[in-house]
Amino acid sequence: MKKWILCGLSSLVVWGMHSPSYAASPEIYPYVKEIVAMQPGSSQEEVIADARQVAEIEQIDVEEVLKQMQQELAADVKKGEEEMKRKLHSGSDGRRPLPTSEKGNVFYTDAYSSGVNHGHVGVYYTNKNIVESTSGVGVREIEAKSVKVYKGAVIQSVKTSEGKRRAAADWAKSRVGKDGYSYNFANNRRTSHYGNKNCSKLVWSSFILQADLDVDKDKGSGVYPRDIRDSSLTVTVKTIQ
Amino acid sequence: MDMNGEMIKMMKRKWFKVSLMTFGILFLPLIGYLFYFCVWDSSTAFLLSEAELKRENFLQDKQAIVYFSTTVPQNAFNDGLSYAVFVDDQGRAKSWKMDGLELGSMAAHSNQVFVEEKEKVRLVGNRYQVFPMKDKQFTGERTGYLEKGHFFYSIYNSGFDERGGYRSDVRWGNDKGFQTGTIPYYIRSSGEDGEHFYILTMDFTKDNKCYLKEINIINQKVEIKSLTEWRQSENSAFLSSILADEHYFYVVLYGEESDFHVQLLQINKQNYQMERYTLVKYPPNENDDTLTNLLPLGRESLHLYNRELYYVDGFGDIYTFNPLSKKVQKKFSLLDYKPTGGSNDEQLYFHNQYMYIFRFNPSTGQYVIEKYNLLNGKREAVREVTGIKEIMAEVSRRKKFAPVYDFKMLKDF
Repeated sequence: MKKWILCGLSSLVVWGMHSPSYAASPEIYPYVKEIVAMQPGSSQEEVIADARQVAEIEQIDVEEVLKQMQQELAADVKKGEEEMKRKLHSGSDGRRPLPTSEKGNVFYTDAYSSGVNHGHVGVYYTNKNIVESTSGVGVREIEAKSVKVYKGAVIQSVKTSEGKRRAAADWAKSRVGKDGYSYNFANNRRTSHYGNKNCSKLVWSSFILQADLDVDKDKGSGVYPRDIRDSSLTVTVKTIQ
Repeated sequence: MDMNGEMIKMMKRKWFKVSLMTFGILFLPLIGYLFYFCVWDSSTAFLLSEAELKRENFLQDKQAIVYFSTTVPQNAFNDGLSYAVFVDDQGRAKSWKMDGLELGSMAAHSNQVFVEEKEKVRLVGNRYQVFPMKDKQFTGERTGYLEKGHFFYSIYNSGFDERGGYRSDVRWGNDKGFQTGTIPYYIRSSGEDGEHFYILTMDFTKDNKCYLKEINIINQKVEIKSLTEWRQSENSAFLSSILADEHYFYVVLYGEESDFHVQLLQINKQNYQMERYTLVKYPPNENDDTLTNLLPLGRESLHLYNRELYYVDGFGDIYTFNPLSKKVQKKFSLLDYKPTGGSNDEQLYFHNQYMYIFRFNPSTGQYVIEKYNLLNGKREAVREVTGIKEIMAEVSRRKKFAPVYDFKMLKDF
């Protein structure tokens, strides 16, 4: 009798482990821990939930989505590390204020958290004010002169009409007071334009919605700050020295 | 059987050794890395302990306070850093390490220092107290002490509320306790006159309207009174705090005429009539560092003394404006100063006829406090500050940078 009970319980456990739709444990999916390790701030549950959502929309396996997320994230982290080695920032390389620029221009600066250079982007909504999405706050506005960036930060113009650049800036500004922050970089291209977002998603959504331009260099699962900086649709107009 | 037993023992020993070596090879570097980046702090000798802060006479030999912090984008994974630095009579600095609070600052009043932090406020001096705050803050706007209300206050650029409105949170209180409230605007500039706070806000959706508002704390509530409004170019921005005397409000702005044209806006307190006076017109050049060098030398760049306004720009030039004669003149320039492209490695503090500058002097490789007499432009004293380079080295080791956001003198030298 005991054997039958044990057998039944074991079957339930095994069945549970192999039914992704019912299992809550993140351990059943590959790549999740690696994604979270490279993207601190997000939880395993959030990563799985995002991947499931994408998998459902795109009719592909959750594992496939997670694999794409992990690969792109790893490539971005590696790129950040390579740039970090080349630049060898010292503390005095920071502290440059963002200069004035044209409405609709974007900026990129290196930004380190947990030893990883994940970069940071934002968009000018007047020539002296920017909109950016930052952790803890979400989409916010701040005067450019109050924003301190690394030496080597760049200001870029997006290759489109002035009207569309201004419209993109206005859209970004319209998200102030509405959208919080999301740690999900790994598949942020596939989530809604409205709602929580990180810095690169804010800039990317602004231009895809208002200028029909995809300013993501590799167009993978996630759009990262460096993807915008390195896009063929952005051109550097000023490097901060 | 004995032979087998020996062999098993030997195998176990070998297995143990292999396991130990594997552990060593695989995990020790990882542990070392984690320890190096997450636990070990090379600047420990220059950090203050809470026991030191708690000392009743802690402020007795302190001469100046300085606030450094990493910026918000460096805090993406909650690993930002701030330092409240206390400099003693001998120029020796020791720092209180905190979570990151961009544009953070401190206030001093009557042998007490108010330190703002991400999730708490701290009173140091007469009576040491820590007050936890329910909302985290990430970006400061200003701190001070309001004489009339007998309380310290701090204002923040907090982001937005659940209904989509902008939030500039306020913390205020004294040793009896601290309260919080909200100013529902994004603040472009702020100031106080000992009795009230004043803020300037702009609305780019309503014909670029600019608003001057008076903020009062009445019955533990934030009350906002609109004083006046006007239209201003969307390309304009304020370069100073709001100052007030008995007749006027003053604030410095640029971008109204051009980005190279810095003006003083004077607002009559009775009828709110406005006048703009040119302070400086820089030679326009988009390609050099003029636009960043013209940014003021510190957050407190405007001072009123003996019916004369003093304004300090990023070129290290001090301009005066006389409210009666309306005359502007370049009074003097800082000595041994090279514009830093707006790096803001400096902050200013004014007290009566004296101006103090905290800065890093690249030519000597020293952090210094310099004292200038505003009346004759003479540099009267220079004091080296030690113990900060070590803190900054630790910040750099963590691949971060921490600008200096605030500086105040507690006593003269």
